[in-house]
This record gives sequence, C-alpha cells and structure tokens, in this order.
Amino acid sequence: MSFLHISLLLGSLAALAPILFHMLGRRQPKTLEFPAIRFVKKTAVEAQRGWSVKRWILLALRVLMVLMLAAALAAPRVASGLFANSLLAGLLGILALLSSLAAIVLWGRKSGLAAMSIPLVLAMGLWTAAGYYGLAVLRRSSDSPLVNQQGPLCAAIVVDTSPTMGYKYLNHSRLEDAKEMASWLMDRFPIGSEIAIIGNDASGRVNQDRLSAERQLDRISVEGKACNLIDRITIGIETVRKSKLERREVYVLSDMRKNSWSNAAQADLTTLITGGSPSQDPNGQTPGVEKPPRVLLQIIDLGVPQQEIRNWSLENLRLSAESVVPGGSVTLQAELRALEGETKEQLMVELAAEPLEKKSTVARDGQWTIPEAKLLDRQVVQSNDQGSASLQIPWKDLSEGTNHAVLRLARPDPLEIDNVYHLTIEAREQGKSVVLCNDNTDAQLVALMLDPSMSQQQSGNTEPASSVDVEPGSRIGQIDFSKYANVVLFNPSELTADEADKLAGWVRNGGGLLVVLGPAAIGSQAPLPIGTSIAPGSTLLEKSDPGGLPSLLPGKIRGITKAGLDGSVTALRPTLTNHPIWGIFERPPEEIPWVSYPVYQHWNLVDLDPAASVIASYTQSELPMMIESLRGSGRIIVMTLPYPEPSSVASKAPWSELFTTSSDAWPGFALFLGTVRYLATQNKHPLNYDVGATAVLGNNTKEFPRTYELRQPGGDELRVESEDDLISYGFTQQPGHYRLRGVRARGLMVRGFSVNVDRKEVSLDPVDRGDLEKAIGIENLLIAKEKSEVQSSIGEGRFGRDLSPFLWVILAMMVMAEQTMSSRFYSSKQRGKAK
Amino acid sequence: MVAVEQYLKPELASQIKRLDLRAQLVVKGFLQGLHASPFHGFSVEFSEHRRYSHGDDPKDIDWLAYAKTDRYYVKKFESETNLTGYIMMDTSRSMAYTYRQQLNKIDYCICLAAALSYLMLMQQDPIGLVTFDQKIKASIQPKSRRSQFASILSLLIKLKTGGKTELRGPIRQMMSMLNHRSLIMIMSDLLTDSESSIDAVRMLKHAGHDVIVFHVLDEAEVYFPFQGLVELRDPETDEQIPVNADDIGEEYRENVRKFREEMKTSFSQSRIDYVPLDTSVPYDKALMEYLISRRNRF
Repeated sequence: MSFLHISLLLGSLAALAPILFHMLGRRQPKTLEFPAIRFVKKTAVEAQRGWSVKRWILLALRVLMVLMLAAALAAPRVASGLFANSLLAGLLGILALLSSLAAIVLWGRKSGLAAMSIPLVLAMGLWTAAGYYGLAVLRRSSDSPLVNQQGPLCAAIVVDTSPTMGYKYLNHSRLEDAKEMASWLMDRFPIGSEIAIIGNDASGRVNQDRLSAERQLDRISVEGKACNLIDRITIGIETVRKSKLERREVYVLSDMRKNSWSNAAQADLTTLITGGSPSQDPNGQTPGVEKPPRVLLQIIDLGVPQQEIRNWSLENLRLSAESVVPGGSVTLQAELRALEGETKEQLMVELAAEPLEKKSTVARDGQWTIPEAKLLDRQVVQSNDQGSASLQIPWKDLSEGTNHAVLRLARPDPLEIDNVYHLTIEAREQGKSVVLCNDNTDAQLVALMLDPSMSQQQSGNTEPASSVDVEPGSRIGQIDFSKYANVVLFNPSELTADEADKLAGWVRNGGGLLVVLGPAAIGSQAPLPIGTSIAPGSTLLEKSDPGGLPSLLPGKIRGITKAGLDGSVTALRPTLTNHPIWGIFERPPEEIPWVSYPVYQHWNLVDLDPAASVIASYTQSELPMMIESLRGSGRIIVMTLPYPEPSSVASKAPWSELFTTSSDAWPGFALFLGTVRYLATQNKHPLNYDVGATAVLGNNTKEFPRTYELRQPGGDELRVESEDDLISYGFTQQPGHYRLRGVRARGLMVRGFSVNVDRKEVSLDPVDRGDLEKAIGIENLLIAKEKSEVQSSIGEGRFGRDLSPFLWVILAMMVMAEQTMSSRFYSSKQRGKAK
Repeated sequence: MVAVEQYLKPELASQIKRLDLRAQLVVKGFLQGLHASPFHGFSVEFSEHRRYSHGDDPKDIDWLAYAKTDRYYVKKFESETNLTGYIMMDTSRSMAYTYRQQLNKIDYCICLAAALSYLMLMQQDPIGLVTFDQKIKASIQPKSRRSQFASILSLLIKLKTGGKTELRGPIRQMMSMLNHRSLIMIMSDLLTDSESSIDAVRMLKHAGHDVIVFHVLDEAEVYFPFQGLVELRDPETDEQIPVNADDIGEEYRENVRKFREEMKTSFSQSRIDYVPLDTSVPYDKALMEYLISRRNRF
C-alpha cells in the first residue's frame, strides 16, 4: 500500500481525541426535578443499558471517523485489486456490524420503525456490500465499481497481426474483431488518456487523442509473417512506463496462436510488469529509488474455439523454374492439406495470370493499372482420407517479361491467406553461352546444337551475332566471362587452379556452368586409352592439381564404369523429376523411353557433396549421371557422360546411344538443350520470396533503369534505387505481387517479384498456457474472452488502486450514522411531536 | 400579599394579586352566558309554564293560571342551588413543579379554586376549602357569605407545598367532617398509588357526595419535552434515574396517556367527573369547557 505522503497518516493520531473527550469530558447528565418519575421507571433501566451500548458505538464510530478522514486524506493506494477487496470487505464488515448493533439497540428500545429503519437499511446495504467484496476475495477477483477509474490512463493496445488473424469466424476476421475490441476499449478510456497502438507499426508512438489512435488502428493489417507478441508487449510496457499518468495498462488483442507467442517459453516479462525490485547499491542497501509502478497487462483472446477451426491450406509450392525463355513454360507443384478433422473432399485449384501486353498497360497517366488476372487453368483435386492432395499445374507459353500469376484454392475457407500463392516468373531470352572445348570439332558441334543459326553464319550469311561463342579451353584465362550467362565446359582435360578459380568466381556471381565430363578428363598427361577399363578405386584425377577441375565438381571421380558387360542395359533415369531441366519435355521425364538409349560407360562420381542434387542417375550402378550444385548465386551442373559424343571416340567406343545423328535421338538432345537453357536463363536472384525476406533483383544499370517506383500489394508506392547493380527491398511484410517500373532509354521497364506467406507461419495451433504463465507470471496473467470478462478482469488487475474515493464514501456514511445515533438528526422532529 | 411577592416571581405574584378579579371575570363571564347554575338538578325552583297535553301528570297543573286564563298550564321546575361545596387541594411537594410554564401545578389549582369558589358564592352556595398532602393540613368551613371568598383567597395565597401525595388518608378525614351531601372538588396531580386513590374517591361517591376530580399535571409531565441524557429526580422521594430522554419520550407519553385513560374509566364507572388538565392549557378555558360539558349532561 502506498500513500500520497506517509506523514499524512499521522493524522490518525487524532483518533485519540474522541477517546480523550470521552474519558475526560464525560458529561454528567443534567439533573432535573420530575415528579412524574413513576411513568419513567418502566423503561428507564432498559434505556439506560441501550444508552450505554450506544455510547460505546458512538465512540467507536467517532474514532473510526477520524481514522477514516486521516486515511482518506493520505490517499492510500493498494498494489492489487484483491488486496483492495480484502480491505473493503473488512471495512464494510466493521461498519455493517456497527449499524446492526445500532439497529438492535433501537429495536430493543422500541424507538419506532422510522428511527430503526435508517440503521437497519444501512446495515443491510453494508452487509450486502461486505458480502460482495468478501465473495470477490474468495473468487480472487475484485470488480470494484467504487474505485476511481475515471482518471486518465496511458494504455498500449498491442494488436496481433499474424496471418492467422485473418481467420474469419461469424463473418468477421480476427483482426476485425480486434479492431472492434480496441475501439470498445478506447470508448472506455477516460478523457485525457494516452493511447499507443502497437501493430504493424511497433514504434510505440503515443497518441494524445483518440482520433489519431483510431486512424492508426484502421491502418493495421494482417501480415504475412507471425509477429512476435512478446517483443510488442515489451515495447508496450516500456511505452506506458514513460508516461506521467498514474494508470498504465497494456492490452493484447490476439487469437492466441502458438506462432505469435513463439518465444514465450524463453521470455520473462514478470519483472517488466511488476516494475522489478528496487536496485541495490553494492553494499546491499536499497537506495531511495522508488520501485516503478506495476503495469496492468490484459490479454484478450479473440481466437476461435479450437473445435470449430476449419482450414484448408495450399502449401509446398515448387516451381520448375523462375525464369524461362519466352514461350516457355513452368510447372507448379503444390499440396493441399486440411486441418485435422476435415473430411475427404473435392477441391478446385485455379491458376490465374495477369496478361502481359506488348504495350504495357501497367502505367497510364502516371497511375498504376493492374491488368486483371485471367484464369489459365483449373484443376479439380480429390483429397485423400488424411485430408491431403497433390497437384501439378503447368503454366505455359509465358510472354516475354515479368509474369505475375496467382495459384489459389477456389473454395471458401475461413483462413484465406494460406489458400493462395503469388507467383512471378520471368520470361526472357536466354543469355549468351560460350563453349570451351579443346577439340574444335566437338566445340562446333555443341555450338550448333545450342544455336542452329551457327550453320548459317558459317555458310556466310550475315545474320546477327550468334548466342553461342566457341573458345578453346586453353583461353579460359583470357575470356571475359561476365558477358556470358552460361559456360559449357565440354570434355575438359586438366585445368589450372587459376582457371578453375576464375570459373568458380564467375559461377558465384550468378553464372551457370555445365561441365560435361568426357574421355579427356583423365588428364592431359595420360589420356584414357580407348576401351580401357579403369580399376575401381583408382582416382584418375588424383595426380592432377586439386585446385583445378576437381574443385568444380561436387564429388570425386573414381574411374569409369563399363556398362553392359554382363548383358544388362544401363540407361538414364530421372531422379529429381520436378527439376526445371525436365520442363523442356511435354511429358513427365520418367515417361521418356530412356531405356532405348543405353549407356555403355560413364564416369563414377562418388563422395558427393550433401548439398548437391542428383537430377538423373544410371539405372544399374545407381551412380549419378547429372548433378547440380549451387555456388553463391550461380550453379554448376556436371554430366558424367559426354554429350554429344566426342568426335575422337564417337565411332570407336561410344559412351552411349543418346547422341546419334538420327532424329530418334531427341531425348538426349532435349536434355542437353534444356540443361543449357536452364543454366543460361537462371536468375541470379529469386523472384519469389517468403514474407519478411529481403528481395533482391539484379539490375545492371547499363541495361536497366537506375531508379524504380515500387508498388506494394496494398497499393502503397515508394521509390527504390539500384545500388551496386542490385535492387534490395526488405519491407516485404505483405504477401502479394510487388511491382517495379522504371524508365530507360528504350521505354518503360516493368519488373517485379512475389512474396508469399511461409506456411510454417500459418499455424493454428493454440499457444501453451504454461508458456504464457512462465513468460508473464501466473499472478499477472489476465486472459479474457468476452467484454464482460475484460471489464471484470480490468477491475481485478488494476494496479495502483486509489482507495480514497471509497474512504470518502464510507466517511460520509459514518457521519450520517453518527448523526443518527447521537440523536441530533431527528431532534427537531421529536421536539415537534412533543409540542 | 406581601408574602406572596416574597416567594413568587413578580409576574406570578401579579397574577395572584389579580386572582380575585380574575375569578370574578371568569365566573361572571360564565354566568352571563349561561344564566343558570351549572350544578343543575340539586334544587327545585319554578322554571316556566307549558300548555297541558295528554300524558302529563294532572298534579302538575297550575290551577291558579287556569283560573286566570281558563286554560291548563303545567308548571316546570328547576333545581334550586343549595349545595355545599368543598375544594380539596393537594399541596404535596410535587404540586410545586413546573418545567417551563408560568404557573406551576399548585398555582394553576389556586386559580382554578378561586374561580370555582367565586362561582359557588355567586350562587349563594356555601363553599369550603381543604388542603392536604398526606393528611389534611388546613381547612375553611363552607359558608355562603361574601366574606368567605376573601377567606378562601387568603388561605390560597398562603399555601405552601410539602410532603407526599396521598389521597386515602385525607379523604377519610374529610368524610368525617361532612354532615350532608356535598360537592367535593379534588385538585391533585394524583402522583401516588392510583388504586388507593381511586378507591378513596369512590368512597366519597358511595357516601352520596358528588365528586369532581381535577387531575392537574404539568405540561412537562404530560409531554416529556426533554432531550439527551438527563437525570430525573422525584422531589417527593428524592429517587434519581438517569435516562436518555430521546429514547424514552415516546413510551413515557404512552404511559401517561394510559394512566389518564385508566383514571377516566375507573371514575366514570362510579359517575365521578374526571377532568384531566395540564398547565399549558389556560385554566379559565379549561374550566369553562368543563362547566359547559357538565351543564349539557344535566
């Protein structure tokens, strides 16, 4: 309990005054002669006894009055509603006892119903009030309407903006309910209160007026990432602590999902709420620093009852590629998953894309014009008993430019945020390739495969420059790789460490390197004799420079496997069937008749880097045929089989039947072409991000504008500038399409990327109450679901409760009681009767 | 009268000085208004003539009037005053009490006695005075002479209160003094044993006397106007009781009311007139109201 000033309590010493007056100034009754004393005798004895009791009651009343006055002037405050209720119950009990005694005395004296009714009614009222507070104490609550709640307060309203707050229940999203509840709370804040709204903007700015707070509240929207409520509460508490107002309260409006309280188990807000213990100096002495007052933390649970939660989720989206050549296609693979309890159901998934026109309509008269998405595909999916289903939707014939699309579940669902994926795919001409090969014939062949126009150039036509250059392997040191999107290192022999480093550096910067291992890989010193079987276990490149070619490979080469010696057929087998490489095929890669193209020998690549992905392998040996490994922003794909067949060995000991001059050999050709396209069109930076990630777009300012206008999904616009040929944007809190437009010499440049909600952030699992109790403290944890509970709970937990108004009320009642008992109150009436 | 001025407040003394005049005024005003004795029925005197009608007693026919008028007239008669009156005045100590009235009970009774004496003497009726507390202390034999009024006033003015109230003894003494039917007017506060008082008064009635009891109480004794804590002391017994006046007032008044009611019931059963008075009511008004009601009854 605290007081305005402790010295004011010294006033309670004045309670001695009535006692002293009673002892010293005890007035002797006035003696009167009265002959008719016989009429008095009958009642005098009883009256005398009653008067004696009454005198003691009066004395007690007067002492209590003085004590009450001193206490009221000292403005006592108590630390908790519970303690306040205990005090009130005690005080009211004493007063009720006194009133009851007075009523009994008056009844005993038969003073009349009118005289007796006052203390009787008073006693009944006081007993009722005392009982009410007594029960409140027993129930550990303390709804106290008499407590002054009219003083202004500093309140922080923390709003959960996690994705699950978009869950609709009874036609209201949780966020809408939160806003309505926040408005309701603000209606109840006294005039002059300071309100901080902590939602998307967690700066803890305090609004001095209700209107600003309302505006701030209106702007709050559901984010694509679970917020950290513990951090927001901390900000809220620290904000209200800075206020000069006495009452400080923090309200948390949340649907109480696990993700929002993810770090509750590790947090400890107890000290922050209670104000902590006063700091002590090194000698253990408590300095005169006052302990900060407690802060009321009221959590309002807006969550839907767990048994009524229904949700379908579209998740695990996989794109076959994020960039393709114009007219190319990508495959979207995703899964549908229901919450536990959903039944087997037929669901429809739609793919809708925004059309890209030659003359962009994205910006007209300076205004953004978003093309309306057109439905491209619709797929009916049947979920299994476990409430899950897989789907695969192709997105074909992409126009050149940045394509935006939406993959969505076409079905009403309470939580829609996880029913949609926003997609951005770039379709652009593949970058220039260079074929590095020591054998010019092979090099020309590869180049011809990649760009058929090469043949016309050779025949003297004056066509535009080819998209493929051919360079001998020995010139690696002199080549400027920055102008190439893809390098095909065909049938390499030994590389120097410098050459390998140069290539690796280029890959790390976003280049796509295809290493086609051929017979030359054994090293220049000892070319592999045709038809020679390498003993298993021997490492061909062991003698070579370890910093050379091996540094570009994701594993170690251990000899060559001669296939088919036992009569069996070894063929290629797609392993990573959803890899974009396979996108070149119209049908799934496993349906391609690979077995018709046997493999006779191949390099054994072992001890693979765990991060490497095997795209295809060999049927018999299970050894990898095509391995992809990521290096920085780029990637390296290694083929353990030469394709096409090197000219030096083609007719003697073929490595496989994949490459023949006949048109039947299309699978191998398509695979090779697809691989090069993949590597040549890969963006250095992804186009589809999760919420909260920093989106990065490459922006070569020689080709692209330096500055862009960025339009967020919500419609907000801002300017972003390229720096170091990169555009970085970190405020990706909202899922959707982010569009950029800039002006360059050739006209308007429109780019973009998509941001999606990471499905891990959309968990409808309820928070563990134990974690909350640990973080906030059992005694501080106030959770309400209804408005009535909020009201009651506020009363229960309101700290710094000022008892003086209540004491003044009691004092007024005591003065009335004293007046009644000392018979001054009714004296004039009685005189009137006597006359 | 000198003695009176010594012992009484000047305003009261001046009242008593004028007692004779006041008594005359009261009675004269009363007689002028009534032209007949209120003690109707005690004498037989011609009142008026009335035409004879069937059913009248032929004995009542006035034959002299018949001779003169040749018509039958019946003579109506009125009682003739020939009544000896006694005023018995209680002079016990309690009679000297008043709380806040100008007249205490004894003064009130003196005024009342003076007026009644004058009334009786004006009607040529003999009137005597007896004062008593536990026994008769003084008496004036009834006479109908005009000088009797001065004698009565002289005794009234010299009255001193003392002793306890007691009716039984003085009434027994009184009865031995009475030779024939008389009108006994008792003035007392009756603050003694009520049973014995009633019995004593009834004895007078049974002896054939007409009895009127003037029960005079102080205004404070009737209405109990005290407040707060007071200690009451009985002047006759010196008994003291501390009480909270506010608490017992209601009940006290009820007790007094019941006491008066009991007296009235008991006396009316014996055809004794009971006149409750308190000192806040002007005695002339009280007396006049009583006499009017008495005349109407007879």
